[in-house]
Amino acid sequence: MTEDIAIESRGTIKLSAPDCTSCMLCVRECPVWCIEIDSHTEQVTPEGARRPRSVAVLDAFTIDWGLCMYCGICVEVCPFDALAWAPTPREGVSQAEQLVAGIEDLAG
Amino acid sequence: MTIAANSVEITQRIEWISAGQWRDSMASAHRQGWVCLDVLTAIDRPEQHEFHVVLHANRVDSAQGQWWGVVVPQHHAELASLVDVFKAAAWHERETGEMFGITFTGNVVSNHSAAQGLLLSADAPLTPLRKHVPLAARVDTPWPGSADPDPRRSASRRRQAPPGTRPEWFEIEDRQ
Repeated sequence: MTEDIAIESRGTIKLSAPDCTSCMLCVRECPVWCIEIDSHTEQVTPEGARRPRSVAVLDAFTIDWGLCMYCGICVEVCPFDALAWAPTPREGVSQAEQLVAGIEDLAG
Repeated sequence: MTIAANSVEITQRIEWISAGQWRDSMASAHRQGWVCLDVLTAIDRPEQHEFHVVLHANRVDSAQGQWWGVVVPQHHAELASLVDVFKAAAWHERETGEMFGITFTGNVVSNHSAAQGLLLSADAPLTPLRKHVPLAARVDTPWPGSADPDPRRSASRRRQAPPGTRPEWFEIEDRQ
């Protein structure tokens, strides 16, 4: 079945967590409030650097597919292309809570 | 009005009619073959203190549709009914009357008090499609965008209103 789906199809949205900077743009632009981000900042001192700098660490990223209307605004606004369309649609679930997808689930 | 459907752009003009000419103009359009009333509804434009009542009708002799529109001031939200032009207008005007509080003179059941119970339950807010009427779920649900991982950023950042809300909805809540 998968090979029949065109590569540009908007089946689902996937997240590349390492590219996400927790900037919150997708959360704030989402018209249906279906994205939630939980993150914190850590002080890291890169090798050779004089001073530590703050780095955002992503703790949780969820999309509630029960609310999402697949408008793609989050994909459009993401400055780091951490969110992207993926062609294969998500499979159905039997419990409403299973519609809330976390980082691993969104990795594609 | 521009409708983007699957990357095909359909541009349809709205023919604007003055409120006083509304019934006669639509009767004339009906005589010219625009006989099938597709939809009649309103758009609340609170900043302009007016409603746009819009109507879409189709022909039956060709696959053509056309929009008409009329500006109705909010301080005198009355418009002549089209029930004697399009029978189907009875339902649409009742619904528009109930949702926006517009009175369609000549449609005996369109005014808001008489139309109560058509679609809304008795405890529903009045004129729920007016933009000043809060969407309860939008007011009650915490907005995920209010969280900010970086406290320095949240202190300096201008507070952003959640999408799909109006500031006055939260003023109502603050007063309570």
